[in-house]
Amino acid sequence: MAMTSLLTISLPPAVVTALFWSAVVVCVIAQVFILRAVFRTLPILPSSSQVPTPHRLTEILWVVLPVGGLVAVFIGAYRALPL
Amino acid sequence: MTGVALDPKKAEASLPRDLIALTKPRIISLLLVTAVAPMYAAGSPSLLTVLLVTIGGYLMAGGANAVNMYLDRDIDDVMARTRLRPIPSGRMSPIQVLAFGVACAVFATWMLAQFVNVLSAGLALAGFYFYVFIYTRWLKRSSPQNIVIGGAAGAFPPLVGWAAVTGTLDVTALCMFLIVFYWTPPHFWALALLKQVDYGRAKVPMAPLVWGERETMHQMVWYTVILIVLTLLPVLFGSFGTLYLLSAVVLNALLMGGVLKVLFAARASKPWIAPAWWVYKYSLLYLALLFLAMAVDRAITR
Repeated sequence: MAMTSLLTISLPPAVVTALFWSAVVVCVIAQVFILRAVFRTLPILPSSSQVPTPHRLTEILWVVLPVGGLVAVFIGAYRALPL
Repeated sequence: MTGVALDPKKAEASLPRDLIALTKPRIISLLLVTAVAPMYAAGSPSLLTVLLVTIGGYLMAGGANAVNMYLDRDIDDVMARTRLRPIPSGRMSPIQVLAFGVACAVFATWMLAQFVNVLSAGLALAGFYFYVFIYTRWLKRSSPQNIVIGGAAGAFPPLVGWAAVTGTLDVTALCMFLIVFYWTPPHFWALALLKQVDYGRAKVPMAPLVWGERETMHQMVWYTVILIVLTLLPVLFGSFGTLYLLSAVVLNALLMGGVLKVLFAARASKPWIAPAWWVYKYSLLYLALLFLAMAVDRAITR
């Protein structure tokens, strides 16, 4: 019994809630920086680049698409929180 | 190279070796860890189920890798890293490779659907289609987001393993999917930084060639941040316990340390190649140990 209580984690609901929303904020900030890079990098592509030049709108779509997965996992995680 | 006549004796002698090479076994070994470990995290699978998922997973991923070699045969000939593959070296014809890849995928789908369940077969097949059509056929040659979105193909194995045991998917399985998804950019961009010349020669728009080295390194940091959050999230909703948490903290600290070392070295105009190699190799161990920690944690707390 004592071993099981050491192996499992039990936090106060307030702490769980605070950690959850901290995780959300951290991911939002990181995603903003990821998205910002699309706007910062595309205009400076050299015209003589050997590799294909991606279209900015397409690049934005690809960066935003995974956010759907993040939203889904955070919704699912919130519903599963032991509050 | 594709017009070189095949030497029958040489081709026959190396055929088993080449067929295995088509499947990219070293890559698949990690995929199998991320498929089997979730099975033990999801429940108590029988050895037979584990064996079926292992064989089915190997054949499906191997088939996808073979079709990838068929579709990329033109650039494989150009890149030093891939020039010795069966097609560019003339040991196998393109149609042989394509047929082998498709046959593997068809058999794997049937085997998983017949002996495991339809959901795991469907998920494995979805991973195949994603890798072949979304990544290889479409994004690889058109966008620096190629390995980000295309990396989702490598994130299907945890779903396959979880579904094989539970017959369904839940938030823990989704977490596992996203962990592999967000692990992919720092892992592959470390390699892309090191092989820029090769990718440029093949006109593949990898991130360092489109965004520059420094921006790629910044992106590696941000994706690693989200990856770390995702690895710790399941602890919050009680999916994993202390053992997993401690393992994740240590593994994450090393990974982030490595990624930051690459960035800081570049910022200080110091050599960053060795740190980048370290990130690339360590990230393979990282993912395997993280998923093993999930399985062991669940086993001891069940």
